Amino acid sequence: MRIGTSTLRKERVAAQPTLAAWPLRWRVARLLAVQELRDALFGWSFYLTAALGPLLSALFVYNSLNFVASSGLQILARPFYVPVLVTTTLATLYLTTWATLAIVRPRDQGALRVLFFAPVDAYGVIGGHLLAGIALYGLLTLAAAPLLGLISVLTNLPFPAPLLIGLLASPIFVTVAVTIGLSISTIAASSRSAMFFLGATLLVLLAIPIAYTALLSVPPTSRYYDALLFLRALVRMLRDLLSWISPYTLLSAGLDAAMRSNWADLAWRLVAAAVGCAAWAALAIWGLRRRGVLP
Amino acid sequence: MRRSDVERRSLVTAKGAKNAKVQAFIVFSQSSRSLRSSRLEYVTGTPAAGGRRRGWWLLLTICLLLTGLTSSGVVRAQDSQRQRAFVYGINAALENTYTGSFAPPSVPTLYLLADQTSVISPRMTEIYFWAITNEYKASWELTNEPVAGTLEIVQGGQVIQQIEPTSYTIHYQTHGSEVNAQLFVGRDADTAQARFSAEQQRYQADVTAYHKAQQDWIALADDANQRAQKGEKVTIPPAPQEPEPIGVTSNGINQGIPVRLPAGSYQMRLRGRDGAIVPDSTRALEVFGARRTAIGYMVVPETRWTTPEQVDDLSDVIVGMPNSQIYLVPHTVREFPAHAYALLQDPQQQVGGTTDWTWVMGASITAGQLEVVAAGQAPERLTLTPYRVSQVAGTTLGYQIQQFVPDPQHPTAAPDLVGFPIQVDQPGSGFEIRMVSPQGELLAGSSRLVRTPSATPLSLLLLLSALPLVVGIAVIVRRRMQLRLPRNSAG
Repeated sequence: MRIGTSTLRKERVAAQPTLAAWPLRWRVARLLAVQELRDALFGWSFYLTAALGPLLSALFVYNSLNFVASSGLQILARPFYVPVLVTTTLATLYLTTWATLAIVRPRDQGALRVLFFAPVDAYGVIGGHLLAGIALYGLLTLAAAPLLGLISVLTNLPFPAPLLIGLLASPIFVTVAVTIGLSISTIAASSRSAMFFLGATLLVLLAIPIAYTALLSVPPTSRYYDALLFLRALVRMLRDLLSWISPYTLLSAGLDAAMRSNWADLAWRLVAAAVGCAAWAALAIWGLRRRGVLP
Repeated sequence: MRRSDVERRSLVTAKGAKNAKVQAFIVFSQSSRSLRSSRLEYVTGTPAAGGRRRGWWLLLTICLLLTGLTSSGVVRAQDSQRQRAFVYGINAALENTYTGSFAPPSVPTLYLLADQTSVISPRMTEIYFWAITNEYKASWELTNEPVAGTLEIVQGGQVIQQIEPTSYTIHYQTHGSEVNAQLFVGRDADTAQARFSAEQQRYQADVTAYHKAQQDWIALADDANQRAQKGEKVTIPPAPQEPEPIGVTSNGINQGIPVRLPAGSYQMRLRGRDGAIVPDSTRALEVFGARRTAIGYMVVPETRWTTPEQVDDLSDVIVGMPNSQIYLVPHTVREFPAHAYALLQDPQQQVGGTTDWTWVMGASITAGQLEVVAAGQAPERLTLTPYRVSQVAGTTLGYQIQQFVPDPQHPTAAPDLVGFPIQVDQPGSGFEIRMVSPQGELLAGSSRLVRTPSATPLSLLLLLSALPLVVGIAVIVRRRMQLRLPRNSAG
């Protein structure tokens, strides 16, 4: 089970999966994951992301304390929900960017071609990066959760237990972001185009809810009919669709479900995330096999 | 303006200008006025010529304004073009009251609460568009004709209910600041209305008797006063007591169709007596229920009782300043989809398709105790206590909350606030509150946390968040040093 580097045709033929190859793929995935983890841990971006979440959380909590000091009373709605959401969203954003460059950059540098001299295939590579992504998110969460707990103890504001459950479930949502990044990475022609594509995707994710809000603020053309009705319905449909596809929306909805202790809702979101992860991972594998390892 | 008029005016203006120049020269050469005043007169012309010119300009301006005002459609008064239309009058059931609205033909969907009886009244009326609020208004005073027919509720293409119109009445009962409504349908409506009318008549008779008794008492008091001034020893009888108001208002007997459905999406239409569907009567019907139900609290801080806060969500935390006093007023709360709930109250409201949820305050809870559970201490039980709020006299602004003591002189006086008094302790403390029923059972969804924040400096919080960066610096510097070692040793 080896992907040759001579021609694309040979790659495609050689990359046909067989059952016997799975233990080997698992081993490759683990080795790759460890290597990727090492590389990420020796970079600044990981630590900056790990610090930025608690920093914003600290400012948010301090703002609440300041409000209580000035007004005497505050009904703190869902304490630590926003800090946890900010922290996990930042981590997800970091991992999406990391995954977007994970395949395309070594391909640009020629390292991916060298990697494929070893007995590895697309399944092992994507699996390895997915494992590394989950491990990195786990480390980021492990760094942030005790700090948030410490802030909770120091300020005497409670950290809700259901939020911890949401935090434990959040890696499933993050896998969607990682596999989306990997899909972009495998298909993109170069690192630059991959980053451009990621930026465009994030803009679309942001633009749809903003566009819907903007469309709502446009008054109807006539008192009898609304010329923007179809457009409104379309953008609303896209927004609803996005709530089950976007890892960021899934993450916030999952944390919200956990806060409400609505386990059925959380389970549905987890299923949606797992299906999304599988679909995007399949696309990434297809992309890698299709696009090959040559720059 | 005709051409001759224009020419004449031009001539007059030119002549006036020439005369002005000549006069200015004479003034300049003959008089001993200052140079400045001469120049001013030269520039502006003579007072008579200037007045004529100003008069012409004024006339022209008035003409233009009149032309503009009469011809422009922009500044014309709002022309309300009324049109006869089929509408649904709605008395939508809320948590413990009813809200009235109507749905003109432009409203495609009606929203109702699940498992509660709302009343829908098909009507013909005259509607007009009111651009200021961007909605249709109904001229009920001009036309208000009930449309006879059977309301059909359709789900999945099947008619699941056929409802006939019946008589109904809604009685609104006031309890302090709360208004509770009760719907009576069919024979119950007639009975309730008859009872209400009897009560009303009795009250009116009592009020008439009271006024007569009061006049008699005033006359008696005046007489006693006069006799007292003459030195007689008099005894004034007690003043008559004002009769208790019935405390209920009714919207009278009306005709409507009571609708009570479980949550779901339906269609509704009115089938006329001729068997045909009444035009414009087919609408979508969204019946929705609460996602969560809990016991919420209105939190009244002693220092600002006029601006209470609201605790709704189960994860909400009451964070108060140390050594402060707060009062908790318990009531039921239910969480509804914000979009549907807004349109339930006003079907013409311009709201977006938001996915947000909103908590809605329900009826007050008047029985039960509040259990305060602090770590390491036995639970303490508090009872609902009535309070009276009085304004602080003098220049000091503020209010005082004192326990309410019933006054026999004013038997109708009601407390301003009925709640549980809570003392927030020293910094860093916290406890849990929860309600127990009169039978001693814990009420679900009533548990909340009360915390007093510790004074934590911002610098400490920022230092904590910088910890990952410190770890990162250590790891990366160590790594770089390791990478340099072979090269250094070789060099």
